[in-house]
Amino acid sequence: MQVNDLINLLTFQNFEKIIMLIISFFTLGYAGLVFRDLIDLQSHYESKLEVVFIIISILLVVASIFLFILSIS
Amino acid sequence: MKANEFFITGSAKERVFMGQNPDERIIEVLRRGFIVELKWLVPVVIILFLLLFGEDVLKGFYTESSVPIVPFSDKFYFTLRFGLIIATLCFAFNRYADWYYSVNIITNHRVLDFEFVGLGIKKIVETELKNIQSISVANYGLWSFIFGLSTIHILTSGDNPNINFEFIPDSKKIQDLLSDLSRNPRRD
Repeated sequence: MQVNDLINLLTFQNFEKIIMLIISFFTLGYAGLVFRDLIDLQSHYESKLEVVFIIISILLVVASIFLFILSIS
Repeated sequence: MKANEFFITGSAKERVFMGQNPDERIIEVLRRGFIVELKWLVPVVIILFLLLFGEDVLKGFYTESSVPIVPFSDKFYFTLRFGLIIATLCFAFNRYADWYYSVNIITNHRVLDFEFVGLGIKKIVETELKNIQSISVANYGLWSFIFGLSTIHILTSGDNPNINFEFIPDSKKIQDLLSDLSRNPRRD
């Protein structure tokens, strides 16, 4: 592969896609960590809002998965 | 029903928190005043507002000649904005959960302090009521003064860790309760 071919890979569309992938990776990772942290928090004591927290956390993860799928499509 | 009873399930005889003994009864559950959490809640609301409506506000300043220098696609702008919204919501949710789960529990045997700050950072301190040496109440800052939130310092004997209940409302009552309990522990 020539150097020119490598340079050609860095087209504007590819650059845009790379940035979108980074954003979606970051969001997905953050939502996953928040979910993991919530599970850890809930192990310390029982609470009436446990189910609500879990649902919100799962919704955030699902939204970030949607974003990831959108960015790779 | 007291406000804190909403947050903790179970009657006094049930096991509610990790490590609770069968004969241990919860007397009081305390939480930081929510007004303290405005320091992150206000920026979050502003950021969300800008992400949701910022473009519409800026359009008012656009002119015909103001063409974007880098013409990214609509999909890129959507991903960027949606990603930032999710990240902001994740941050806000995480901070709220941290506030919610950071409690100070007083039982008829001991005093526990659960403190969670951010992702994966936690501190759990406990001490027996009989080890309490002195209790002091302090006000820090204007916010504490205005909203009546005080910090209770519980000094313990020997190598036992000291415990702080930060920004607690109704601190005089708690100080009195702790003082009574430390003199007469295992009260039912």
